Order: sequence, then structure tokens, then C-alpha cells
Amino acid sequence: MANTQEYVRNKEGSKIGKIVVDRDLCIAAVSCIAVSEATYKLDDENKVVVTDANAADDETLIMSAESCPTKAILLFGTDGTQVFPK
Amino acid sequence: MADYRYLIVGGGIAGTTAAETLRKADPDATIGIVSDEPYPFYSRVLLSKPAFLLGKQPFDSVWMKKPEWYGENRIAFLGSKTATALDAHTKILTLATGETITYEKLLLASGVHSRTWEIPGAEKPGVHYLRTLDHAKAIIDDLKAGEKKRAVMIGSACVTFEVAEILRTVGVEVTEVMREHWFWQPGLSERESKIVEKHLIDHGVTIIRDTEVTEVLGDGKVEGVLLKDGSIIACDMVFAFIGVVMPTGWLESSEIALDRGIVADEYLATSLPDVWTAGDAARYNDVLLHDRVMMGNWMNAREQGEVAAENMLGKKRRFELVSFHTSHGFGNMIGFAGDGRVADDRTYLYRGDEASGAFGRIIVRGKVIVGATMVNRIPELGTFVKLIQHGVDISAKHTELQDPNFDLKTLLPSA
Repeated sequence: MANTQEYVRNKEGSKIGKIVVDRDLCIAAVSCIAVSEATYKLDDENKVVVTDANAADDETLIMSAESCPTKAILLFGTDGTQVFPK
Repeated sequence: MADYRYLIVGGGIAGTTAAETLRKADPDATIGIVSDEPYPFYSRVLLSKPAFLLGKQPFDSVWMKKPEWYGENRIAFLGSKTATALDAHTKILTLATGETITYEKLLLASGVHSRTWEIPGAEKPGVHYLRTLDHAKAIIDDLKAGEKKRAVMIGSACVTFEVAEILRTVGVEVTEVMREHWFWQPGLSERESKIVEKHLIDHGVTIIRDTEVTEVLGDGKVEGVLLKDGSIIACDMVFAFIGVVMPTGWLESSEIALDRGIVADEYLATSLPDVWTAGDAARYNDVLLHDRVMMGNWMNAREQGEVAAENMLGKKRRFELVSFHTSHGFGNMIGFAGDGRVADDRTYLYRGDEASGAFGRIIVRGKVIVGATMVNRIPELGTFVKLIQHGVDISAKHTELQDPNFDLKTLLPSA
């Protein structure tokens, strides 16, 4: 993948081990930030970055990825399999 | 006659989210989606973005669901089918082909259409709209050849702003012709608009205000436009971004309550039994704004699809969301939260410094904020959403709200 940023997640009990933001796809619609302000923010280039990969529970994290109108957020399980988008 | 327990009209974000929600909760139910487009669910938001329209990212990134998703989830996708009549007593939906479909519960998530431009010559190739994937494909094809030199854009809002930047990026001359006195009126105040207009003008866009095009000229293709005052602008592309309409005609015989959209309560239930609505087509009772509103944005449509589906499943969930959206162009980012309409019962507070380009308008009704538009003040968008959501009494805080250094978060109830 081209311009992606990976964030490792090691939240206890979570099935999600990694959040990936595809910066080429991100259009700063900021729906993910609305779902979880504790997880994401916009950087100086108006692209989403993860500020705390462990802030949200799994359900909120999946919801934040689902809310993205360009599927710029990818989630991977602790076993490495892609959880979203499927 | 086909028969579905849950039938959805509309295959966009509202309808597809509803189908997904219904399937999760009811694994055995029959679910059908009727769409007047041939395509599986795609990202309407992406259609006006530069990387997509200029082919810098794969075309396939537009798909939000693959065709096989429907089969895997046993959701019947009835594409290229237009609904023409609804009978809520017999629970029958009629399609343009004459086919009929029966349902137990129906969701109308049919969205809005581009307003059709009804001036002479508007049917010529080279006159573009941008609402559907087919519209986007036509623009992509027209730009790909690299032969287009001059565009005229009609209308002044999000899509105009975004497409103007895209056209300038590829060296197409742009003349913006608008009825409005300032760009993005009334969505932005004149003071905010001046910031946006400066960027348009600095990037070579010519703005012609307070007028309209009366005819598209050319022999078989676009060669120019005629303005009301008789002047002619030569061009080879025209973008008719003249607004959207909810096609209500097909629903009139159903006697469903209509008011430019489909009228719904806070549960997104319409006036007809077992019929709900969601997304851009819904004029719903907004319990946070205490008003009946239509909101045309992605987040709103997604959440409404979910809430409507839950209510179709027998729950009683109110729709409560302060929706927002953003628009980008020429290095600017503009955010809209809540109800941005201008009305007699509202007053306006201004925040920030116009010269710096980070400037916004806060829309106040009585003691509370109902909406905000933020030009290059995006980090504050989330706080405005919360201030609207909680109905925070700001009647004694007007001075603070207008101080760009004042931390808005301290007004939130938890703070």
C-alpha cells in the first residue's frame, strides 16, 4: 500500500491489534473523529492520525472505520487478519 | 410477484446501512434493495474529490460494497429499477417495468436527485451534473481527453467549490456564474464567503454574480452560454450545480405526508403504517434542534439508516444526531455543524480573524446554538456539535464565543 500509517494497538481484551490509515484515501470528512475523538485527530495536512490506538473499545473502533466515506481506515485483528473492511 | 419481509428503496449509504443492520439482527428475513442505479453501494462523497475525478486513485476505490457482498448476505439487489407507485394498504410497491413487490416493512431511502436544468440547450453533451456515479464518469471521460479549455460553473456551494479546484488543477479556465450575491450564499455568511472568494479569484476563477444563464449555446455540443443581460461566455463545458430535489411525484397516490421530502417523526416513521424513511429524502422531527429538517450529508444518512432499521425491527429508538460535513478546496477546509439555515428567529456570532482566513459563524436561536460554519477552524467543529447536542445555554457567553482564544470546551457540561 502506498501512503499508509500504521498504529499498533495493545488494549487488553481487544481483538483488534492494528489500525491503519490510508492517507491517500483520507479526505478529512472527519466522521471517524465524530465517532471517537479520543482515537483520532487531524494533522497539519488535514489527514487523520491516530492519537491513542487504545482509547476506544472494539465496537467503537469498528464503527469509526465503518463511518468513513472513503474506507481510509483499515482494522486488523491481533492474529493479523483484516477485520475491516471485509 | 416478489416478496420481501424488509424492502428498501434506495441503495446508497442510508439504504445499505439499513440492510446491514436488519441482516445482523434478523438472520433469516428476506431483504431486498430497489435502486434506480445499476451499481452496488458506492461512495457519493468521493465523486467530487480531486484524486477520484482526475483518476489519481483507482476507480474501484469508489465501491463501498463489492457485488458479491449482496449474495453473501442474502440481500437481493434489484438494480436499474425505478419505483413508480406505492400502496401502503396492500403493501405493494410498483416498478417502472410493471413488476410489483410486496413487503412487510418498507424503508424509503431514495435520496434526492440533481435539479434538472430547464433552459434551452441544457441537454447538450458537455453539460454536467454531479450527483451519481454516471455523472462522475461523464466528467472523468470529458476531462481525460485533455481537450477541454473553458468551463462555466453554475451554482455556489460544496460541489462547485470542490470541482472548481479540480478544473483549475488541470488548467481549465473557470467562470463561476451565480444568482447569489456572494459565493455559497446562504450557507456561508458574506464575511466567510469573502475568504473563499479570495481563494477562488487568486486561483484564476472569474466570478460573475447576481445573474443567470438563460441558454446553453452550440451546435450539437457546448460552445458557450448566454447570460440574462445578453452577454455570451465562450466555453466547452458547463457544470449545472443548481441544487437537488426529492422526486415526490411517484409517492403522491400513496397519500404519504410530503413536504419537499418525506415527512417523518423522530423515529423516522412516516405517516403511513410500516413505512419508514432515512437519509437525504427524510424531513424528520429533529429532537435536538426542535424543528423538522432535511439534512443532506453522509453521517446523517448513515445514522438514519441504522435507526430506521432498528425501528423496523420493533425497537423504539429516536434519531438523535447533530450532523456535520466538511468541504475542501484551494487549501481551505470548511466545516458545517447542525442547522446552518438563515432564518428570522436566529442571530449570528462571528469567531476568528477574517484576515488570517480562520473565521466562522455561530448560529444562535434563543439561548442555544443551533448551527455553526467554520472556515479553516475545523478542530472546533466537534465542540460545536456537542454544544448543539447538549443545548448549552450560551446566552451569557456571547463575548467569549466571539473570542477566538477562548477555549470552547469549557462551555461543555462535563467541563
